Amino acid sequence: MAELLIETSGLRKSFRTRRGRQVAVNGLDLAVPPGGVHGFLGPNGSGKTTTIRLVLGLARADAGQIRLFGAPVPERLPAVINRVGAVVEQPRLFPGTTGRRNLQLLGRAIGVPDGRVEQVLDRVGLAGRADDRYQAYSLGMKQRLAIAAALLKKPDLLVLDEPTNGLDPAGIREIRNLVRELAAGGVSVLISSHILAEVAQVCDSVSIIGRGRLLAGGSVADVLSRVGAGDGPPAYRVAVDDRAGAAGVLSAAGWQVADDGQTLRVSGSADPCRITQALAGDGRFLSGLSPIVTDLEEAFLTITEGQGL
Amino acid sequence: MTRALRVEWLRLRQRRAAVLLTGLALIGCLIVLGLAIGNAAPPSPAAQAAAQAQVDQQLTDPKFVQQLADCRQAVAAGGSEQWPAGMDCDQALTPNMEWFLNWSAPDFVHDFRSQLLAVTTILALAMTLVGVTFAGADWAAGTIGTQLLFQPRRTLVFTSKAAAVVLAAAVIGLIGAVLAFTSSYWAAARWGTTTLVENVGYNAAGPTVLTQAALVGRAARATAAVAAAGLGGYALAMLFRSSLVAVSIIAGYGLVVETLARGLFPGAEQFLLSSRLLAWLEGPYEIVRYPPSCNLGPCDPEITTISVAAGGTYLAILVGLVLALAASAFARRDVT
Repeated sequence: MAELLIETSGLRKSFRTRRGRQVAVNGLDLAVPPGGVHGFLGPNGSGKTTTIRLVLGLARADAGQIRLFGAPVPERLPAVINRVGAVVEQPRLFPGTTGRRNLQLLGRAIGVPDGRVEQVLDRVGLAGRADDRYQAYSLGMKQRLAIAAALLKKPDLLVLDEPTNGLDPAGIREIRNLVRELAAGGVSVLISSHILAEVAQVCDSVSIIGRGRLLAGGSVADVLSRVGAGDGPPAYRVAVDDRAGAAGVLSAAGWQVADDGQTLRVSGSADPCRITQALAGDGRFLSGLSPIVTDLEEAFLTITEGQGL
Repeated sequence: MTRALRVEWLRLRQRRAAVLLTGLALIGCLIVLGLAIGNAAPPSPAAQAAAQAQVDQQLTDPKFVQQLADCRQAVAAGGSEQWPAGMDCDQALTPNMEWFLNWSAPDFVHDFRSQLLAVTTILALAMTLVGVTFAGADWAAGTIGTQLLFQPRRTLVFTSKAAAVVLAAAVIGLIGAVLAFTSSYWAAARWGTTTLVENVGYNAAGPTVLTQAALVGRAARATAAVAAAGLGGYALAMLFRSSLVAVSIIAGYGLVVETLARGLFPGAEQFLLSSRLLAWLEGPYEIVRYPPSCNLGPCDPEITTISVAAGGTYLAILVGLVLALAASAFARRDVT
């Protein structure tokens, strides 16, 4: 079996706050396989960024083990750090310095030749603006420069923490395309996000966490099948005025019904004709009915449902 | 280490705040030295004429004439309480132009001491701020985290940054010392007053003959003080992760602690940073205190002498302590 890129076991991290100690990561067992794009998913505050910080040595764990390319972190981190490029949370580079100079300074610290700087600037489409000061860059440009910095090392693993935060749709697409290209070029990518739709389009495997614990992990297909998508009967979203009354009718007809606050989710061998018929038979008329296409986002919501997240 | 130091040195040189502070400090030094050189210039013919007029006026003043006559008479009669025997009344009482010119020929050793002290004070303050902003800016912008993603050895990151600050501050301190030496020597050389003698301190028995090595040593101590100031500022900002906090602590100490301690606890003066710094820069530093009994009549003051070594040891321990705390905190604490 190929060596895992990132492996954590029993990882725990808490912070002191005014309200006492807050646990950010709570016994997390994470395994990121090599190759492709791995989505690291979870709602805001679920411990994604803290986990990434722990893995990259920016924070110290209270308990548990971390291995990066098989090397224990933080003890052997210096030996493998050059195989990892990372952008954690938001891009943070020297504000009064040009984009090119920023990369040169970072690169020279680890012996990267200046020629590599031109390559990565070109790679992220910033060659034309490389001599502008970093503080004059738009958020999208800052994000791209930070990715360029991460690519300086020719990493085997690229860690992107919420890379599309604050970006406009064009910027999001740029980042997504870049991630796809890098993955196609053999770079493994770990991308963390709370916006499932954007990650779902590029991920090969995922880890879903909540409250600092792993809720589900594996290939996208595995996770989808684990929540009953793909191989089970279809489910439908039903919009109706009196949801409680309609739910009673549909339940009595033998289907599983869940109220999400706006619509009813009906599953269990339901089909549109019989749903319509059952409701009409009780004098209820629906205002909308659509099949639920179970994707990563739906799986995520199903998995995190009832977890108090 | 060399590679990391080179990068930090480059970064420091490119920091606008550092360049601005250094430039302003050097301009301040040049102004101080320029004023000193200006003061060393001989008085203008107009000033000399005005002084001569005052001399002439005093020579014809009946009070002066009477005083001189009284003095001569008393000395001739064996002396009095006011005019002791053997006193040269004409030399002691007859006015001359220097009395009214407020000018004396420059004295190289004395001027070098005072100018080096002024220059060192200006540069030490500036380099403290350079050290503070160099570290503080990294925390404010979050670039420390980015740097650790490239070089996770925190001790190396901390040390290379500190070394860059020390190097820069030492170079600037040396420039200041050379400027102080050059200006004071140049001013004194025009009057042939470059002899290496000085008279320092309350208890000094007489002039002390200095060697060139002593002057070089004094310049070296000044350079070291400027470098230590930069290092101290850097360590404070690294410890508190904020330029603002570091500057507040420095200002708070300077404005509140030193002032209060001097005012309320005179005995504590020997333990203050400023006293130790003066001892390190000036050679043995004497703190002269007059006990309450002096209010009742003549008495001997209490003199506490702080040696150069004591001053240096105190400064080294202080900077070393802050540096150790900062390094330890940086090695252990999470970087956000």
